[in-house]
Amino acid sequence: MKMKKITIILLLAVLLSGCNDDFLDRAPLSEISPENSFNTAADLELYTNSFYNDLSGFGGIIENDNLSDNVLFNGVPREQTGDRLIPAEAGSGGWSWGDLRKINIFFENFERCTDEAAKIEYSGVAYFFRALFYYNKLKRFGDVPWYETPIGTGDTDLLLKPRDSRVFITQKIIEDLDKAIENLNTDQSSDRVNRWTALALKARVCLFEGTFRKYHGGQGADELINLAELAAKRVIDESPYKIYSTGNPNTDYRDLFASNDAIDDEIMLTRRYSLNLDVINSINYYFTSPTQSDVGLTKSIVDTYLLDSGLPFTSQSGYESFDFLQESQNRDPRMSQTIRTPGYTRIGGSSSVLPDFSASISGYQIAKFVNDESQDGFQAGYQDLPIFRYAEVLLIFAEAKAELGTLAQADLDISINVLRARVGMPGLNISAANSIPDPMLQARYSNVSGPNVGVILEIRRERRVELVLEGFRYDDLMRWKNGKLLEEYFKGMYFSGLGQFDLDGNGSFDLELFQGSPVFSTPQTLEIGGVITLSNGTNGNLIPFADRTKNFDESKDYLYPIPFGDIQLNPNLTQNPNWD
Amino acid sequence: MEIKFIYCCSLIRKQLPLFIMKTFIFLLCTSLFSFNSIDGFSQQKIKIKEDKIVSVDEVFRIITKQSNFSFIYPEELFETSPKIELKKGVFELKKLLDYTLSSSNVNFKLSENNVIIIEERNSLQNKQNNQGIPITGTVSDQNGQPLPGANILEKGTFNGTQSDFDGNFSLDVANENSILVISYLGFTTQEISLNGKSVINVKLIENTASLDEVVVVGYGTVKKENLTGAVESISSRQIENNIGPNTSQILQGVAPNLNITLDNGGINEEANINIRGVGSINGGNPLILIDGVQGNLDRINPRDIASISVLKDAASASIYGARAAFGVILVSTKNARSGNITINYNTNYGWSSPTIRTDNFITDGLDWARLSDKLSLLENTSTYLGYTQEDYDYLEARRLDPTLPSVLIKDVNGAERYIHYGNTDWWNTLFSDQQLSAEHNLSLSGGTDKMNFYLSGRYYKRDGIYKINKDKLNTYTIRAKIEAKPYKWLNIGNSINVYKKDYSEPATNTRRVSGSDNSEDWRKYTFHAAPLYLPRNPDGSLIIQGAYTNNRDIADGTFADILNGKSRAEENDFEVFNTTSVAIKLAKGLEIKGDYSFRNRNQSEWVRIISTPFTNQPNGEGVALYKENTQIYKELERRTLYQAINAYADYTFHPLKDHTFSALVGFNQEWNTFKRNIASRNGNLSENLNSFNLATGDNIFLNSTEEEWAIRAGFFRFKYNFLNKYLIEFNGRFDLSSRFPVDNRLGLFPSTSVAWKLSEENFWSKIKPYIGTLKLRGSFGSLGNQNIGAYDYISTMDVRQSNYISDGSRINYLSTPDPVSSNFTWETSETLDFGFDISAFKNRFTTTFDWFRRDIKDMLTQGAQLPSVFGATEPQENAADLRTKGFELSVNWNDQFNAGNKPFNYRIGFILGDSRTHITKFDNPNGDFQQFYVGQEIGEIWGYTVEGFFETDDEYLSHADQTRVNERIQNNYLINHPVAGDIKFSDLDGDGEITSGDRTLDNPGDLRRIGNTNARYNYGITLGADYAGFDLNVFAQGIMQRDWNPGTDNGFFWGPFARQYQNFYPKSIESNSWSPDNPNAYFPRLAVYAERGGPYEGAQLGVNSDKYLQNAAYLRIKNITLGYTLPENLSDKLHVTSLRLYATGTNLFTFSPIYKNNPDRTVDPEQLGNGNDYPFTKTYVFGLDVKL
Repeated sequence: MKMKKITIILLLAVLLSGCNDDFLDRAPLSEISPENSFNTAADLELYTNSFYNDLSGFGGIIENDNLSDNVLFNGVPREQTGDRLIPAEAGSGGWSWGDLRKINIFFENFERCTDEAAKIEYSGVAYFFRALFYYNKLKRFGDVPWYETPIGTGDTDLLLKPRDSRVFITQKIIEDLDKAIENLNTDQSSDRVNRWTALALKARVCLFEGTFRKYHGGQGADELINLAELAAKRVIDESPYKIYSTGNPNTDYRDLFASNDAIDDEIMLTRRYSLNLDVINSINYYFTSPTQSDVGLTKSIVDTYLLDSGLPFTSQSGYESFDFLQESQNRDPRMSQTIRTPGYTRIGGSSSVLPDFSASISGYQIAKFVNDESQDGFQAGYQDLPIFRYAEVLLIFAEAKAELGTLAQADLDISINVLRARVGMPGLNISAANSIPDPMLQARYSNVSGPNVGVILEIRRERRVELVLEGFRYDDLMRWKNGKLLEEYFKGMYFSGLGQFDLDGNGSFDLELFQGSPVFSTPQTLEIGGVITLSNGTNGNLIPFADRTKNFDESKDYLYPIPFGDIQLNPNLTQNPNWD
Repeated sequence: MEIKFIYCCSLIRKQLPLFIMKTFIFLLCTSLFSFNSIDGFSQQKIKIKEDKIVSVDEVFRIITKQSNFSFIYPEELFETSPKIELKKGVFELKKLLDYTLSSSNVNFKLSENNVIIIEERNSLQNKQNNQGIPITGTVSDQNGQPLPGANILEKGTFNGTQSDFDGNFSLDVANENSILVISYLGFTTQEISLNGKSVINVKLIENTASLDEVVVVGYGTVKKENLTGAVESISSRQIENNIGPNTSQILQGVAPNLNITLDNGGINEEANINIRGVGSINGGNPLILIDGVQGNLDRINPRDIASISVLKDAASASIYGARAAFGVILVSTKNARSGNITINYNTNYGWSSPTIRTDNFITDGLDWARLSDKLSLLENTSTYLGYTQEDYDYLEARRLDPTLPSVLIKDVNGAERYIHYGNTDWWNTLFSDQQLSAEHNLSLSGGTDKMNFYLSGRYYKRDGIYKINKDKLNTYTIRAKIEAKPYKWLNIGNSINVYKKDYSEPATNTRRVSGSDNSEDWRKYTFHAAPLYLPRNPDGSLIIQGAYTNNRDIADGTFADILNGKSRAEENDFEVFNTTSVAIKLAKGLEIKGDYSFRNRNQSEWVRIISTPFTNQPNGEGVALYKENTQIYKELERRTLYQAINAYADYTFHPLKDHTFSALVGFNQEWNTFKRNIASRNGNLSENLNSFNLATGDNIFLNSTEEEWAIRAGFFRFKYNFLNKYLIEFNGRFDLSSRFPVDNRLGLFPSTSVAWKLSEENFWSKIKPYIGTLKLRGSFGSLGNQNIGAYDYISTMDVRQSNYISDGSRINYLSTPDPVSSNFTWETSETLDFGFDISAFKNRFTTTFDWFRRDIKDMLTQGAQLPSVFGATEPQENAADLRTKGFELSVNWNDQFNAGNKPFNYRIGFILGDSRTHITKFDNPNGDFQQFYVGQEIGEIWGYTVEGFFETDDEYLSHADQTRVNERIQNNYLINHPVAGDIKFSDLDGDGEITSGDRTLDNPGDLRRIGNTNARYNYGITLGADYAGFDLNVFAQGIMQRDWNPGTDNGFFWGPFARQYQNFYPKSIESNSWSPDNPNAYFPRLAVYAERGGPYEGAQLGVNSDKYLQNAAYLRIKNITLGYTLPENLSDKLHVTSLRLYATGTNLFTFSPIYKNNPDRTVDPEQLGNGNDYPFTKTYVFGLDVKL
């Protein structure tokens, strides 16, 4: 029985040894709590790095132009048909707030950091991203609630807060941006925000809101436009950026966008892609594959490109019925660097290729951003995409001064004319522009008035041409109160009728337009009468989706609706006008 | 004088396996006593006052009261003896005893002091006492395991004996044509005619339905007749015919409401297990214990299983407290057997093929191309394939003259390129329908009464579905059990299980190598691989991009990767699971037990993806590497160390006659650490070797996750048994879990259960011959659920790698801390259970029924929805309740008769289980049915009602506006409105528009509840028979009701309605689609992208609708096994104890209403979802069982 006792004692000993008190306290082993972070410069950097995930990629940059009159694609967006739906689910349709919470958690915690320089620098980053967040909300919804602290589950006052006015929001954005401008460094790194990107954003926001108020009616437009001008001017005067130019007007513009690595001279902030790091995009695929959106430029923007003489293309008589070869002659060199025109060769290619009508519904197939053939596959592209570029700052500067009525020739010479010089175009002359405003543009932007009409219109032309496919056009139409332009049926290339066409004038037929079934055996065929019709019935410009209703209701469509679910959850949240 | 029971066999404990118990009774009783005879014994008279049926013990009590005799005998000697029917009257003591003991195999002797000693008869005595014909033989179970202590009785006499350790017996019988009756507890009694034979070898068939069975319950065992809770017991016999890669797969359909489902048919797939339906909305799985310690079913050898108990109600499970909210599965592994060493060897070989008909896809290039073009042009201005009229002419010509070359060279886009005109059956090119498997099992067992051992090993090997660059599974299992009894009061054991698995498979560029997910994306196999393309170009080079379609890659490059064979992946799993246990008998009825276990698991995986060279040009031109960015080498490692201590004491005592109490108290603690490391780097230098030394790229990914948890608990059980008629049991446990904040850590989970053996009451005596047992049971109790993350109550941040590139590398960032709730504690589950057990017609018929109601309370769920400005998912709170109600029924019939002088055994079994779950509390006042709402039945499907098809192109103008459900048509097709052949939906709310309203109960628009995804009425049918060495088992399993919306990407069901570029279209899809000539077809007019949008908006086939809801009920013949055991004389010649040959077919036939709309049988009713996954298989196996 001694054995028995020993055994029992041993057993009890084993059991009791397991009974230490901290047995059940198990803290996380590979995660940290917010209380243990935000202490060092490295902590702040790591946390603010998460903000960069919110920057737009392909969708927000290139695809955004699909909403506008720059692009025709295989479908008609609801922004143009007038049947946008009120999103049902709370948090959908752009009404998402996670990115703001992330930023406000930074503000709640960063003061703990002991490194004063880091606090300044990274709070600058946070101010920048909060301003960017609210700028996007402002553009989309107008009035939105302002928050600068993270919201707790019990913060009923904050959760059920009504919307703040867009005037207040703009004020707050500017305050944030002023802190960002003050705090951020001046290192010229195109994948990090710095003082210059903050200034560029301030210029962008102020021009947007300033012109929005000017054209839609509202107080303080000029003050904002003036702030835009000052911010832009500071970038021009103080920053190291310049317009990329190697003296090759026929390739520089295209190379800027087809460069695998962003050209830091001009690109102020970029979304980078890399084959080696397996961060890839489908840009070439999007523009060259017949199963994607079949995007192409509209006739409206193609007509906007000036002749290389500096005269409007539309000043030529009969321009409406120029064929593709004819309209491609003697144009602003940016046109042949933006779409495939006769003689176009792919980067790295040796022979010229024509537009592929199966990959471009308008016939004006995109060349801007398109790289060499090796990047054509789905998710095989890896060139960087621009988010902020210096050219925009120049355009803001000129537009702001023109709208304020303070524009001088010297201002144009340091802005618009720098852009024109890159592509070998004659400069814009303020008095010439103002003396004979282009009637085509005047018809388009009929609400522009005053002594500077001519030059404002030319600056708008320049902006549209220079920034096409970079995601600005829809916002521009909204702030200029030109939503009605979206009601037009956008046109594509002009054809004199059915039959065969020699697109590049080399003597052989390249394309047959047919009804029913093709008669000839040309390399490309295009059916007329299905999706695509001709504007005059048997001849004219290609018009896809002519049977769709197009409608832009100015009383509501300048803003997006707030999700129904959120209005249910917060009775103090009001819907945008006329969306009920 | 007081009645005096003497327990001469205090070592007998209920939890010891039956045969050991028998052996001990036998041993001790024969060695302890010698007997004298005393005169005058028979003169004693005993008066019986009324007719009654009593137990043997009861008779002794009556005798003791009326005489000065007392009895001595082993306590449990008469537990299995039949009841005695006593008539009113006065009887001689001797005669009464003779009568009482006639059916028991015992002798009685009168000893000094008027003590009557009763002992079991043994063979030696019988030999000496009888002068007859000597018969010898062995008794074994159907596996050939000897059964020591089986009763062998010469029919019509008291002449009998018991088998010894090795199952051997010898008996002298009076007549060479005598009949022997051989019985053993838990087995069907057999009668054997001698017919002049002197050697009789008997195999007893286990009587699975018998109520005498001993059932393993939490921290103990109990006789099935004394169960008070809802416990289902599965014997090894019920699963031994089921052959499969792992244990979970072979348990499907075996027990009611033990629901086992597989996500796919992968050879490496572990099944999902669920008891009694939906657990919490947060999921939650049954607790699985292997010999009392948490483990994984799939890492033990199915043939090591002795029995499985499924604890379903709270009363049975509550001793496991916080982890047992959704039931407990107790697996007991086979124990060592004392006696001669027995060796069993089992092997089988088989092959498997998909259950879906993979030959029913369109493989004709021309047919496929025409269909694809037709669909492309509905939504695009160009065809998808880009083949020209000239190409079509050639395809036509080739159809007439197949000798024309299948590939031509043409000048396309400035280069000579191959144009393919093939009819490739891609499925059968890449996938095999003869997936071979082999299994070997060897076990040894033996020992003495002081020490015994069990040793087994299993090797299972299976080839997977890939025909080229095969996937292979190899698993190895070793189990060693040793038990030592150095003293009578001490029992020490150790059991170790070693598991190793190697799974090697091909990989492709689309493998999801990010994070911890390594799975292959089967969806990619169905993209773009037109039958027109041949697997290779004529010069042997691989083709990924066709000449015309350089942007649409054949199967997204996956097929070429498989054909190239350089990309592979491998998973290795290695686990050692050891349990050391001690049992000490402290005093009579008091025993303490303790065990310590550890489970150490190491899993490692590697993936190597090598870009495949491809071209569509001849002469080695244009060769490029496919998707170089995906080329990578990756390793993943997981380490788990789990440890557990159990210690408990068990005390049984009888303070008063007719009253038995037993009590158990115990302590349990468990702790677990888990660590995972993931590393990957691109720039592989070698196509064959796996090392980070050979990867040089800049894309480096490192991640590690580590977590631990601990629980500590105390538990108790208190049982009371009065007159063996009324039983009551209390169980309880308190748990402390590290997964909750300190203040909310403690959970207390009590339960109670009662049972009434109605059939033991006197009034039952008339019914008893027919219905031998009727027991009513009831229980109620509560359990906890701690199936949540280890640190869910703490707000944390971790470092992640971004897609944002700065300074030449992907930046790291800290994640945003999630909001957490301060109020965060246990979910509890309360179960009310009523049931009954019946056995009738001499145990031939048995049935068990249980009704239950399970309330899950305080479920952790997202708190009330907050306005989106909150900016995060609402933190979890204990805020929701649900209720599950259901029942389970099992019915068994077991019988035997003699046919041609040989016993014919047969059995029929039927099980049925069902459950439905409703939400009883959830903060959703608007009744938004995209969330849970009060009253919602889990699984309900909301959808539209289909009226039919539009008959004309203009009809839509006079019908309700279908913009929302026809968004795809509206925006993407070249006609922008529904036309003839499109689906016409009913405008239920009459508002002139087909909408989903607010998606709330008050305003559901045109939606209604159209079905439920819950699998209802799970059933299983077993048929078995043995005769003349043959055994046949048929097992069918199915569900009676289930609705299924085919996954929107399910090309096997939708064909080109899903995507015009999926390559596995069912052949019948076009003929089943609407056309002016076929206006009553099942599908609407052909169109692509059925899947776009959501369940309520988007595409007409993508939204839920009553017409396209499938009835996924099925009946599946899971298993048919035919075996033949060689007759003894033949096996003797082979020098083996027994030899059985068998053939098994698994998943042979499937019946389902789903095939009505899928006549090509390209979907499997068990494999729902989008179908793009490893297909289920049917298997044919041939095997052999040998015992040495």
